[in-house]
Amino acid sequence: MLFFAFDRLPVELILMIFQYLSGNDIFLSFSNTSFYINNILKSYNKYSLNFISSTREKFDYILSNIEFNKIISLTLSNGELTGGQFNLFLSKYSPSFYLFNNLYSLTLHCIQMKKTEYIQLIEAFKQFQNLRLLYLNQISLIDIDDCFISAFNQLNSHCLIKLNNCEQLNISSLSNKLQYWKSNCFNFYRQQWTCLRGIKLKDLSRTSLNHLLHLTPQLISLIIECEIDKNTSSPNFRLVPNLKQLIFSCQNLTFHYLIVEIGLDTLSKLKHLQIKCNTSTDELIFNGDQWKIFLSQSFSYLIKFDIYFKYSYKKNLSLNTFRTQFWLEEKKWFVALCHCQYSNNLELFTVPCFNTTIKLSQSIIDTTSPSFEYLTSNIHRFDNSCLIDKNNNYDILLDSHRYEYIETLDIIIQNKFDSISCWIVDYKQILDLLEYMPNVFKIILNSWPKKDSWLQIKKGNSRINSIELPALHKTNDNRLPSGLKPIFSHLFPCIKHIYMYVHYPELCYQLDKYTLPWKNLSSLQIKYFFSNNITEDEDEKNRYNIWKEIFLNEILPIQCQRNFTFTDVDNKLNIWFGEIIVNEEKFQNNNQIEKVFCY
Amino acid sequence: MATTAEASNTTTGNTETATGKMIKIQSNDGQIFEVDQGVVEQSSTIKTLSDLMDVGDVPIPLPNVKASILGPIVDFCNHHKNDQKPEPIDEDDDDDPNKDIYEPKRSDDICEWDLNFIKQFTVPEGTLFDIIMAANYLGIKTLLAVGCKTIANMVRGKSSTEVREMFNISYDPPGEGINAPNAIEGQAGTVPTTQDANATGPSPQPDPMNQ
Repeated sequence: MLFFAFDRLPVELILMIFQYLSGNDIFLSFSNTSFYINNILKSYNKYSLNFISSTREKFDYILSNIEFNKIISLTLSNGELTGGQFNLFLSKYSPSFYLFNNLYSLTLHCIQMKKTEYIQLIEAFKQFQNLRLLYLNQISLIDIDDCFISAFNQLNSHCLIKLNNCEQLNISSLSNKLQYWKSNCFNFYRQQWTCLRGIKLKDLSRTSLNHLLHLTPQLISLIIECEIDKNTSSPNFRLVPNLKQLIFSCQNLTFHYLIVEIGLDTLSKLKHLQIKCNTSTDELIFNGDQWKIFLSQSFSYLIKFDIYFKYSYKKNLSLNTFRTQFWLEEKKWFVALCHCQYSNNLELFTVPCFNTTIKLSQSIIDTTSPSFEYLTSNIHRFDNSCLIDKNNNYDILLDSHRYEYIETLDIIIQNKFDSISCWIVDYKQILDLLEYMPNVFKIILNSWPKKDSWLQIKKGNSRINSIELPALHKTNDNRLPSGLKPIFSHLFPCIKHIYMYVHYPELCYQLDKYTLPWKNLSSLQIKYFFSNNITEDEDEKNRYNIWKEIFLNEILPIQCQRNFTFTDVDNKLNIWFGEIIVNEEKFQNNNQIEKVFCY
Repeated sequence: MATTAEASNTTTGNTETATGKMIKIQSNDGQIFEVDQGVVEQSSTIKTLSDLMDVGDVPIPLPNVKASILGPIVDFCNHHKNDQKPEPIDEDDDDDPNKDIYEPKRSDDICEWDLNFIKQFTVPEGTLFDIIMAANYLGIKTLLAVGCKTIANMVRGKSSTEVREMFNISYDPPGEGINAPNAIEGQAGTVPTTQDANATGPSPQPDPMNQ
């Protein structure tokens, strides 16, 4: 039998395949496959590295073996899966920053920055002279007076900036640099923003939308996440004629409002339009033929169109006007109609965009969707409460459908019809559900399944790599810590990420008894809830801090015997585990264990 | 001796149909396919050859493609000949704030027909690489993209050991084996083809990601 040798494909074809892979995948999947491919990897100079969900092992491997001048894009994160990664990067690689001379794009994600890191970052910006794009996502500052101005000033003149939820950063000097901006409120210093192409707004209460549009004439993307209501003046979209993407929601939508009041029909370059309206009364809005006329006349380039309307009249609607050649064949835009049993409203929406929950999916009474798979392809999370009927029966049958797009299985134990009684799920039911969902990797347990129900399971599920455990409430809960053992040893043996919620510091001391899979863990999150969230009790805070010190310095090093980094933001510890410490003497001396502290 | 593909309905001479002039193409094992302008337009190689040469009744030879691959390629092009042409890139598309030009291209957007089409080609039989090589040689961008995306989707998340097993790559340390620099230089100008699966090579070094 003959085989074709992949590693003898011409270089240009291998490089073409690389275009569809991240730098991480290219490096991890192809290094040391053959001499020929190793040579290609060595000369390849467009590595785009994203460490947002990387294990520490892969992070170390890639950065220890790659030539830094071959990296064009880098994403670093202190998020929940990689606590302390940014600080580790600074401490290990700051002497080599000058080698990142082809770094064009830098993304920093979920980082609370203190002065030490800030100074190192300024040095990095000085040396990243070819940086063309800096994307800051959820960056906050502690005791940094200049609100990031010094850092911005180090960037070269060609570098554009994107900001997402960075409320503390002073953007006044960025009028020629800011390209994308997402924020809670409008604070634009009354200057023109010539480079700004994208805005996402979450709150319009302190914002004059038209003033903002006046200052940003080159805008291409505008996403308004809150509702434009009667307290907000109508936007005038004629001010931003270059818009290609527009997403907004409003009250009582009519075609007159769209054309005369807000000038939507003047946006001839639109490629993506999404409109939501929670209180529609105009029947024409529910007519596919009317929409066809409006859309065809106004938008030649429209590719993506999504609507969600609530109809408050108790009158049946037909989807026939959405079953025409224009909708089904020419545009391939599909809709669904559902009846909300609580409000008695009819809801009309495009699918799969707005069909995001199983609950909504179950209430659909008519749809033009070509298939069940297409209809449910935007549902990424499944909660089992939809399987419990009014008689408190648990029906696991899902009409033989496979839910290919579900990524997270959320096991809710509480009966939705009766807050007192509880429906206790057993492990077999959880594993049976997973059979319907071949792409679920994360499971959330809101409460403990039936004790000992794991005994009837012969083979666990090795696909699940992430688990969120029920909150720990009682110190004398006899299901803990022994209740955890079968989860990791038998039911889900490949867990790499664990989320825990704790209500009493005393409970945290028990962590040394828990049989967590310490050797395999990539990350561990421990979220501590204060008993009174409004005014955090000082005494409780002190108890938490004492526990944290003991946990990080005594319990964790002994349990995991690995290097680790961590962050502690809003009483949530994000721990990122590194290599196992093999030298026993080193291990016994805690000072040898590498810990990067990032409070 | 040349044979004519059944599906092509060859007649004598190039025929004119509703879709325009018909052109004959010939695989390296002698099979002739008759294709219309809609197919020709998708292949820059066939289009260039047919524009440059006054082929008349003579089939255009395609010495790098065998009939078992050329047939499905003709099917692919026939299926896509009425597709809308991709819009020319706007001048300001690079400014699109939602698009990160440094991120890898999407590979999860293969349409259902193309997914089913590419499934008939496999790694063990070598046909998946054959179709990619042929698409590259014929300059059919859409088919080349489908092939490359398929390989990328197969590779993503795999360790190098798994990739080596999946693609039957025999590990060859520097300076040795079929992929050694000397061996590669010696093969210059040849089109890579199949190799003996039973050939054994040295064992690979430990894979750090599999430990």
